[in-house]
Amino acid sequence: MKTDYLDNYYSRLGILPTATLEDIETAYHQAAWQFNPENNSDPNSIELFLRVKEAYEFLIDQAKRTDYNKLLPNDFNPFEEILINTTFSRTELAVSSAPQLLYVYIDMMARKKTIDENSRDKPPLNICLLVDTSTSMAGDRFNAVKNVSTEIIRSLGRDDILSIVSFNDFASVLVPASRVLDSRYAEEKIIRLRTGGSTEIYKGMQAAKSEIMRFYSPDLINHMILITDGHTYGDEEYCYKLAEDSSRQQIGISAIGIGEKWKDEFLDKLTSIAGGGCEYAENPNSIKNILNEKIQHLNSIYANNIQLEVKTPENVDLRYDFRFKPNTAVIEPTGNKYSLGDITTTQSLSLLLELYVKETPQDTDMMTLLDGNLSISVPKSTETNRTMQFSLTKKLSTNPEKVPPPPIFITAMSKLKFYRMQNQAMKELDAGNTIKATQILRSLEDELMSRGEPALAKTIHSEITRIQKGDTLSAQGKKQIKYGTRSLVAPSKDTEMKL
Amino acid sequence: MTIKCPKCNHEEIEGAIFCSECGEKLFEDDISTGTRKFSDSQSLFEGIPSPPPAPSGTLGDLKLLLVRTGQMINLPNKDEFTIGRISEAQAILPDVDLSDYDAYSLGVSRLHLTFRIIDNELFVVDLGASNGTRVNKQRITPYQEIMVTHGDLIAMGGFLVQVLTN
Repeated sequence: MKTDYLDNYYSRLGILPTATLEDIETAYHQAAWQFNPENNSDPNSIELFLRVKEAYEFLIDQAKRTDYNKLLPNDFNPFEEILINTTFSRTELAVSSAPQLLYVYIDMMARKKTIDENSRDKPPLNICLLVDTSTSMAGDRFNAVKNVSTEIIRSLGRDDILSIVSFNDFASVLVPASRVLDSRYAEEKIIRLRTGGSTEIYKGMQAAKSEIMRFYSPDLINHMILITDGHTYGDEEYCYKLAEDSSRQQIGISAIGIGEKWKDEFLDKLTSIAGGGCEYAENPNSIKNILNEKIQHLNSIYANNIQLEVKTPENVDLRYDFRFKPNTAVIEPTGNKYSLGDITTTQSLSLLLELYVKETPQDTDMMTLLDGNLSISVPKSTETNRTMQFSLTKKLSTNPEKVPPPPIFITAMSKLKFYRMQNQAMKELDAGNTIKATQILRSLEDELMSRGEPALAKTIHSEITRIQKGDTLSAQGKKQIKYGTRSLVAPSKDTEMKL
Repeated sequence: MTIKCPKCNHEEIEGAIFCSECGEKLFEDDISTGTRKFSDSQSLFEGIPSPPPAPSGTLGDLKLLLVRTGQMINLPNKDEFTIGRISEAQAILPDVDLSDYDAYSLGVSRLHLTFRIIDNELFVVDLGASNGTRVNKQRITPYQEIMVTHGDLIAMGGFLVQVLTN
């Protein structure tokens, strides 16, 4: 039997196959501390910890470990100091010519040692604020952006690098990339900003990227934050291409969409390509929180540019990839590459994959679901870029066990289902199936009501009324439903580890 | 091979966990967040002393005495309320949550029973709970109103309470 590279006892503990007994003990004690519900309020922490414990009890037994090592491939090369926990929703797949679904939950966490015992300094930021100054931004929105930009400038550290680019029909570099030695200069520039013209995002992104490139280094957190309220015209494909290139060069992209006019599909996809996230600022007040959280996130990055390159056999599709933590997002692939985002020092990176198995082979009791390369960058470490090969395999059975999925899936999916239901309803609406869409939205309204989300349920109710009158969804309602249900997936702020 | 959603009849692919159209769960939940199997509820009732009698007349403040620990739970001042335990993945929450009292391992369902007050009489209705409900050793039929009075013992699975109405 071939051992799963990704789900293996060494990765669960974040150690190498060469680890000594003492290393195993140390790794286990650190993991026990990290997953302890007192230090980690992720509802899944106990379940994850039990899997770490299983690995420990196995590897500490010399005879068992020797046998286990024989199963490992020669080129087996797990990441050290990153704990990877892989759980499947089913123990076995049925031998069948009918399609089946299988879910995989992957949790990647930085080992505690690397966070507070290591002398490694926090990697400095190299960020560019890319601010939309088109006419529609005028007023409260613009003032809010100005205020929070000033706050950010003041909060930056000595080694952090900042640039500010504004754009409408043109892009202008307001503050060239530099260490913020004197924040007054940048603040002055921000105060003088005026609005006018339309929104052309591509030109702005180009300018922002070249500012980031001036100081670019893999030991910095290189990141572009796009703040816009409008819809860009005709240059979407160029923007995607730029995001792809940025992702290859390890530059992340995040976006904040203000108000209701911006195109959520566009910003979601753009940021997904580069491993960032897109947030909806319903009103000027929320801009501040979102931007502050973003900076906090960038400041706590342990590993970034985590990329998954996958190859699935003909009878398997990786249909859906959702990131639960650190920030929620659907991860859209570029070709066969998925930009997963970051692992922070306070939160793990948690993913849910949905695998669609068209049919299973008849003549074997084990099937490969996917082969892949997982690569990560750890800024300011001795080995910045690392790659690990892995595969996911599953047992087949003519009479598979009927057991409920592990609790981790129930917890995860019971939060994700609202977002997926609205997504399904939007698809039905786009296809012109208003009756089906209405039916799903009604169920969603009921579910949200009983889950204690009356405001969101009410929004859905009024959108249903619009549809019934033959109207389309309101731009605001659509975004409220989409990002509102997405925010229900997000762990509450207190699920961060106490560190 | 498909799974039919028990709520809306939508067909999902084998392996789906929740219905994509109505959000209903599509797995048997008799472990973990589901209700644990509990057997041997007869012996629970042995040797429980009767409480001091309640004053006759109107129903007073309703309380449940947790027989195992001696703790007391005040019941809401309403004509109808549900008792159960709150867990993840649950759409409808009970009015009285017993999860802090080890309800899960004693086999209490998430929505186990309802108390109803009709014309100054107290009734209990089992909501089709996995491990059932017994009133004074007698297993009661689900969804049927059973009258209970001061001092009666109610076992939700292995979770034994005594009704106090003074």
